[in-house]
Amino acid sequence: MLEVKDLTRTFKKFTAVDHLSFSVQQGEIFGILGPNGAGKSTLMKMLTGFLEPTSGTATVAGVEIRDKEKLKRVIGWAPQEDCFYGKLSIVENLQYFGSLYGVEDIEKRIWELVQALGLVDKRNALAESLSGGMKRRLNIALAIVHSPKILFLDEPTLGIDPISRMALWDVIKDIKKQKITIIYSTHYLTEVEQLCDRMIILRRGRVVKEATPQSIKKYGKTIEEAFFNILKNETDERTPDAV
Amino acid sequence: MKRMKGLQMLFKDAKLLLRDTKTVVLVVVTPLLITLILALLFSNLSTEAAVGNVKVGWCDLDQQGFSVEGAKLKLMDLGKNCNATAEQMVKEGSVAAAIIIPKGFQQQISEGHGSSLQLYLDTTQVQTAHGISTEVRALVEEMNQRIGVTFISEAWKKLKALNDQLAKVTDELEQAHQTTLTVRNQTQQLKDYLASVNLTQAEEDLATANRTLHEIQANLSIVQQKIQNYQLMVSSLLQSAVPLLNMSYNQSCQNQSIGCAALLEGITVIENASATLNNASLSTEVQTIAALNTTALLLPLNAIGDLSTAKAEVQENLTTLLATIDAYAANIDAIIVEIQGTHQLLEQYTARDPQYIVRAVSVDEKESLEQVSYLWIMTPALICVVLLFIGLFISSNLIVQERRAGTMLRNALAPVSLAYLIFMKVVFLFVLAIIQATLIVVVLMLFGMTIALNIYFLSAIAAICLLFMVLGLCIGCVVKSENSALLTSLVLALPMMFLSGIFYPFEMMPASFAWIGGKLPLTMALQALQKGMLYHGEDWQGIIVMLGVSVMLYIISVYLVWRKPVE
Repeated sequence: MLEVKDLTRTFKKFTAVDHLSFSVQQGEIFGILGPNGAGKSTLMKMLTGFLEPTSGTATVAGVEIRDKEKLKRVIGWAPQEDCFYGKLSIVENLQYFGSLYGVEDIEKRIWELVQALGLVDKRNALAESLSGGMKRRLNIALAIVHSPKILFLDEPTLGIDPISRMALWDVIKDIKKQKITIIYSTHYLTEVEQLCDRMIILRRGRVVKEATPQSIKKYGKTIEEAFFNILKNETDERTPDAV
Repeated sequence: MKRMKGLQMLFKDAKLLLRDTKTVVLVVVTPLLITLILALLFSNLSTEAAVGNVKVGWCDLDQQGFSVEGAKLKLMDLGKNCNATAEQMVKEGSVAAAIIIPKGFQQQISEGHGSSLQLYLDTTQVQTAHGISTEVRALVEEMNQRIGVTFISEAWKKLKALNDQLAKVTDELEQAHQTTLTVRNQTQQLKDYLASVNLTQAEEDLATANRTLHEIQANLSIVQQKIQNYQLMVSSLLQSAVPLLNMSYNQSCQNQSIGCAALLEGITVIENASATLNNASLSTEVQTIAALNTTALLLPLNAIGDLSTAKAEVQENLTTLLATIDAYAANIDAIIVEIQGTHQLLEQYTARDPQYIVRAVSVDEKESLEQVSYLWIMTPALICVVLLFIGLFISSNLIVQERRAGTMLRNALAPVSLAYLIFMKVVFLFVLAIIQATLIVVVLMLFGMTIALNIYFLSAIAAICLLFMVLGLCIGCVVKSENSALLTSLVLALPMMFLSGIFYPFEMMPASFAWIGGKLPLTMALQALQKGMLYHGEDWQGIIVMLGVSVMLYIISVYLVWRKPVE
């Protein structure tokens, strides 16, 4: 579903993403981890067509990331910020963005989404009046209103309370059931453990570990400790269990 | 499909707008309120009235009762010795200006030395300062005119009297001229008469007389001879008679008879006659006559010769005299002509109204826009400024909000081109601007402004709305926050306002500023509207330029959003 090969992005003398290569299968939730400045956001922007790679290639659902118009139809992106109109209701937001994608039978799709994301009761409330968790759910709903093949979630649980976060996990799991591939960028290792099938750990734009949540536990008693140890013994060599 | 997307975008923006009270206020209430306030302000604004309302200090150091009657100034008497006070009051802003009448002001004027008023102006009050200065200058000009007219009127009176005297002199000269002509005629007659005097004839006559005299002389000689003969005969006769008579007497007249007395008397007579005859010398007289032939007759001949010479001299003198008289007459003629010319010139001069000599040129002002209020003149500027400020604030904020909220990013993620997305924003903003323009025009019409809603005006308004909205859009694409958008809008709009010619004409600006000012969007908009509303013309080229600039700004906006769709 996602094939990344030697993807590089430099800003003048600074290399934000340095020859990254990895692949993601359909229906997977693929975690992207790393400390601040590791290159997560730059990678996400390149994969969603917002940033031109300096070199390397990447195909998303068979579409080369430089073919932006086609790329827009196969991807969904839920940035960490709330990207919707606060003065429109949930339904109006979905209607509007659905219409931009040319979604057929938009009313049905909206109903599916509000049901799936637990927004039925608030569907006619203005978006600005929603709670933080609901806003995140709406953000995700908007990202998948056009039924993309791959969904990019950029720290979707950032800044929301634990209950909302767990509710959001359920939503993500439900999306996965729809065979939508999810690229999940986060700082929360628990989420990776709970949600992701596989992951890569980035540091200074390079992959320092590609593994499953279970396989990295051998680097520490907890996943957090393992993560810390991996970064401490920084190496870009992929361990056999990563593949 | 694309049209549906466009409509969705417009509906979405409309909903967002209507649900945002602040924006509704900005879009609807603000233009109404600003236009209303400015319309109220401008409809009663008058520089003339303002000048009449400001306090002007009056400092009369001359104390000769000089006044500026008819001045439309609100004068405040500053009392005596007020020179320093007046200046101080102007500097402090207590009065907008002060007029100082110096000592000896009236006297100097009356003596013809001239004088000057002093005018202190508070130049911080630009509009009123100019108005007061103009008013005072007008007063001084009027005063100068009055003094000039009085002086010239007096001069004219004297010149007219002089002219009358000249008329009399002309009459007298004409009389002298006539006299001269008479003298000339008489002289000419004299000359002619002299010329007619024939001395040659006289000479010939005299010669003839001479010849006759010679003949007489000859005859006289004969006569003399005969007379001598007769004389001799008579003498002898007498000599014979006397003794006879004496004897007779002696003989006959012893007794003294009467006849004897007569005889005696006769003897005496004969003796006397004899004596006379003896004494008489006829030849001597004839010789005298002969002598006359050489003297008496030569003298007239000589005299005639002298007379001819004298006649020639007199004739020459008369000719000279005639020439002199002619020259004299000609001179009198020339003097008369000169005097008549001077007379006419004086008449011509004195016929001129002193008022028009002092003020030969007056200004007959014809206002291009007669009987129009200040509001009408300011209407194009009013429309442009309100549209500019509100347009910039709304459009820049709208885009900044979209970018900050991430909705621009989400829109950019959708399969809609950024160019189309921005285009629909422009359409929405354009519709908003048109609504604002309509509100402004309606308010102005309520204030009695007759705005011709013709194709040109509507096109100009549309171009202006588009231009300002796209300019705001462009600002929104550059800045990062609403505050920055507001500040940037102000930073752009305020200089544009001052450089657009609304407050100061381009001619007053430094050349570089005037050049920049002429190229600014507000100036373009203002000139296009003024052309249509104030000058009843059309500036389609200006409208095309505005559309061109709008397209350019639109392209820049698309590029900026494409480069960075989210903050």
